[in-house]
Amino acid sequence: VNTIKDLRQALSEEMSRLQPPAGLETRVLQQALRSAAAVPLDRSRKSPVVPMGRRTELAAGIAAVVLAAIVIGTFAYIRAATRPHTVAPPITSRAMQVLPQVMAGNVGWADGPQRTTDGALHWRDVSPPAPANRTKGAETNYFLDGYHAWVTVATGAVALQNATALVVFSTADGGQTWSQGRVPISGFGFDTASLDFIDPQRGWLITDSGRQTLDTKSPSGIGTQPLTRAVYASNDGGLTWTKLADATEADGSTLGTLAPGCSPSGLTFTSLNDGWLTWDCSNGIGSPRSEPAVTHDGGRSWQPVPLPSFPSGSNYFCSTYPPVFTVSQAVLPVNCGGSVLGVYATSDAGRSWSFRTLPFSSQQLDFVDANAGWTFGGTGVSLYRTSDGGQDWVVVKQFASEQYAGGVAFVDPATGFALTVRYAPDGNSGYRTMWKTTDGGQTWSVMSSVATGPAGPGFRRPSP
Amino acid sequence: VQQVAVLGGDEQLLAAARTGDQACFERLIGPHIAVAYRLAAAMLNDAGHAEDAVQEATLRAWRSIHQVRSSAQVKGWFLTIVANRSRSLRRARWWTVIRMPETRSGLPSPADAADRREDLSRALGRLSPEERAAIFLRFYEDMSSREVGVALGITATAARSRIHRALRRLRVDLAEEEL
Repeated sequence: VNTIKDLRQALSEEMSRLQPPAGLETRVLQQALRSAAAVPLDRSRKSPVVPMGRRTELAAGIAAVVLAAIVIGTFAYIRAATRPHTVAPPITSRAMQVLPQVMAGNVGWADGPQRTTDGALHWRDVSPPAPANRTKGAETNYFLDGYHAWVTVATGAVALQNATALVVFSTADGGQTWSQGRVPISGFGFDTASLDFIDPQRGWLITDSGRQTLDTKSPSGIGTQPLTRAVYASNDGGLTWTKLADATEADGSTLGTLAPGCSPSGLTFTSLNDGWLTWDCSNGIGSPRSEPAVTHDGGRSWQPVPLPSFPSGSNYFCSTYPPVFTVSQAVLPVNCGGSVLGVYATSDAGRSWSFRTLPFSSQQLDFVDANAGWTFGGTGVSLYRTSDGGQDWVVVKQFASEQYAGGVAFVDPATGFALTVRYAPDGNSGYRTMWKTTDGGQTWSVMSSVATGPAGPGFRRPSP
Repeated sequence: VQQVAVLGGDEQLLAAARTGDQACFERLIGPHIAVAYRLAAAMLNDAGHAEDAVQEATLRAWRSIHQVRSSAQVKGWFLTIVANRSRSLRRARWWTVIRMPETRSGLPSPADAADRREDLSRALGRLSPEERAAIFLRFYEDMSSREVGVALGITATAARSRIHRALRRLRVDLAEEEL
């Protein structure tokens, strides 16, 4: 048995290993504020003095040059936007332990985007080429099937500064070639982008952007402006986008004031008219809980979903995740304070919802339809399954040799993947194992098991 | 900044930061960067990712500083953002590839393995990131359970419960626990 004094001593030793590096404070503040800046101001440069007689002449010349640049630029842009980009010869696939997000047979996708063609044994980075002046934020992937995927990347007038446009890459051949679309800007700085496609042609995009703008009256040259939220739709696979709606926090509209302070956690359309938008409120600012939003007119207008009250104490920040529909049934997971508390369920296409509590602690739920779901939870490395939309949960597999669950991902009701970890006896190294099931989680076979981290002194291979 | 220097006080710094004064924002947040980094490092077990988490949190803090009503809330509010960015980074990485804690330099020889503090240090490494964060804030940063709760986005009762559970896992004598 240890004492509090021992603990404090151990923490001091641990923290001496994790001391902030030199110059951290300056570096962090400067880089963060540089990222926030809209466009750097150069107040030192003075305009050259031009005699009055030449000003008109000069202005006409500048206007002609600008007009020519716009015409040439527009022509070049239209050509570039519709021309497929061929990526460099693919890098050789590598054996990796990656949980797939979408699988069709042996072909699948994971974040990156990475793609597998051998059932998740080997993965290859198939990212589109980075556009010029790429900036941070608003990066997202959407995978429709084994071949169709979309990636958004923010770009700006100056690299690494705030974004002024959002590039949407699309592929129909599994990432061998990418085409490029672009959405009109609606404010400085893209914070988040959410994508959803219901087929290879028709999709939606929602952007939250613009908390900074130029303000010459501000000492820093930067002022705050309310969040701008915009909804776009595409009918040509993401090459061109039409704005359906936009709003700001300040205009008091329903769209602008949904979930203040939260970020979208997902967008999912169940038909050309009906779509659902859920919120991640875990950043601890703004609204501590926010109902999902729903549209019934293809994204033009949105309303909060009347859920029963959130199931936790008032100090928790609650997030919801995209509903998984099967005809008129659906489940919608909710996470408060870092733990999944359960799901909201509907059997009337979302008109009314009831809450189903998870009877154990869990970090992640994985549903393939409105009924079948899995999660690691409870004591030990126990995999639970529900067949009735989260009403009842039963243990389908106890990974007795393992110490930690890394995640579970099912791609259909039978086929699933799981990651687990067990430590070596000295606690400094371990093995991580990727498992696969083809019978809904009853039996699992090992896909790969690898030592994690360099084996330090005292490392011993754990007994099988 | 000059006006703030004359008036003094964090409330004036906050007021100026809320109007977009970067220098005042730096003076307000700067003193909390080191503890924020250690919190992120405790949750992520990775120095590089800890710095990323703090930097992203600082950017978010700048964007939402207008929501802070009192300078007394700044530390807890900022640590909340750091903890949430650390969770997001962890979730993003956890989804794809599990990352193991960095190997400690100067590992003890097998002969020293029985040393109690070394055992405790390894046991700390085996706590969940949320438990490690709670223990770190409570017993290294000497924050109260209420402050720990604010930083981790949970109630004080939940924070006490989390610390209690972690202490049991660390086999720390609960009779002298300081919750």
